[in-house]
Amino acid sequence: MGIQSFLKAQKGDPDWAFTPDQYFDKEFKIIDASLIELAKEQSDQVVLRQNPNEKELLAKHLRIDVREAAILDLTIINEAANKLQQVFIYDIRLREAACVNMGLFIKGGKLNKHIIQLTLDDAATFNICGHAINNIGGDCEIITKLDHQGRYSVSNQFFTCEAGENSQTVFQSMVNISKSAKYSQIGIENSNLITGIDGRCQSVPEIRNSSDSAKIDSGTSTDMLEPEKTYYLQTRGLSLAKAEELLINKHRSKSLSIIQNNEIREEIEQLLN
Amino acid sequence: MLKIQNLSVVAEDQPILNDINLEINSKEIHALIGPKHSGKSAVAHAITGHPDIVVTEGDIIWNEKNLTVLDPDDRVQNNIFISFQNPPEFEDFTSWEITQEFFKNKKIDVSELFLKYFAYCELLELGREHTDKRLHGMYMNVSQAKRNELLYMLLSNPKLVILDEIDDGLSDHEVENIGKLLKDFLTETECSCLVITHNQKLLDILNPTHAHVMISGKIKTLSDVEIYKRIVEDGYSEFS
Repeated sequence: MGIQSFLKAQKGDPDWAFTPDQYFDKEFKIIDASLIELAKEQSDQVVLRQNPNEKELLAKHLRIDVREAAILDLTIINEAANKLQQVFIYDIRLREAACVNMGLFIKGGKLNKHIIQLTLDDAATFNICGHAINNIGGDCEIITKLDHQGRYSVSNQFFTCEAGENSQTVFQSMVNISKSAKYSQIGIENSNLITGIDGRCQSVPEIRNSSDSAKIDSGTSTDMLEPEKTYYLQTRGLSLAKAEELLINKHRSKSLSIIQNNEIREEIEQLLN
Repeated sequence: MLKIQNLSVVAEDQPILNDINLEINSKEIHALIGPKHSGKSAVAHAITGHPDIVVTEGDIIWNEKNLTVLDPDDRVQNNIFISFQNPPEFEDFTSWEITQEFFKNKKIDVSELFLKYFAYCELLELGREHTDKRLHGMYMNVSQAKRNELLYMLLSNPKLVILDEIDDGLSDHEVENIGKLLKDFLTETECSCLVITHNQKLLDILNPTHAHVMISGKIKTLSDVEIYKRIVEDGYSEFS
């Protein structure tokens, strides 16, 4: 399990950052390095499907530069093979009044780690939702570092995670709101469901606020597939399998329902099932 | 007819019920009283198959079917309904959403189900807004949660109703209201009932045909049903 790698992100210092050097050409082998660039006032929709199945350690660095008033809708659908260890680093720059709406749906892997770090200029908006699921005894991690530099910048993060038997998910976020980020709005919500014995859902939302006028909402919750709940549903006529499916699907739907595109939502549903 | 024969059960390796016998015939209302932790709820959940309750001996026969070999969902398909003393919370579901899930495979049209659901909401004084209430203490108080249980009972059309402390957490006025509703329901449907309670007001309204006392996992049937009134008032010292 990749618990050690999770700990790497816990420096407790707002200046911490991941660099590709930490992974690339060392223990992890680089498989790709890409750049998405959106010019001023441009808008684009991108879906990245990642299905690596090599047995090696993999890492990928994606840089995204969204210029002034540009809008990017980015959906990442990732399924890792059971033994695979992979790290994805997304470096995002959001210029003035730019907007990124991002969906991040990840499944499987021995270590399946996604690190998003971004800087928000004046009036920039970053919305991200996603779901991480691991039920093969591995570790899925979503780690975000958001740096609010500009006034009126907005970030909303909503993640649901699901850990099966002897598996782990991690959601760790550090949001740094600088003194210059006046009137910024920040939302972090993480909802977890443990579905198997010895499953673990780690949740570490952190906020460092130096602004005198930021509005911040943060919440995290972890629930289990409790036998008392499934029994109750059985006494109302549902089979055990249906009862469990109902509770799991409801949990997933919290993040899936945010995806507006029906085809993409169905594709993600298939991935998660 | 429900027939519990020489039933012994354990939960987490601890004996909970010891060689109990109970027969409930059609239209009968059986009161089960007893001190806390004496095993009253274990009887209810042994009938419906709680996963923590392991039958070590005996049988539970309902209309000639041995329930002990069936899963909880298969047991309730035989027209058995249980209301929980503390229904679990489902924060992500509204009352109406989860109701639809319960009746998905029961060949009932959604609009027809909604009309029934809505009518029963009115009957139970839950109001129109109950439809959108989430099944969680933040959105639904104890009284509403208990009446929500009765809403499912009314929709389920059962032949055996098990009420596990349905009065728990309700005011006298609310106990009176749900007591009358239950009495009417049992009379109209000719349903059998096992009511577990400490509440004399509820028992007086339901007017049980039989009464039993549960002490330390053993059941004792009272020779005269009226004796429950004295026991509920004076306590269980004469049985210890």
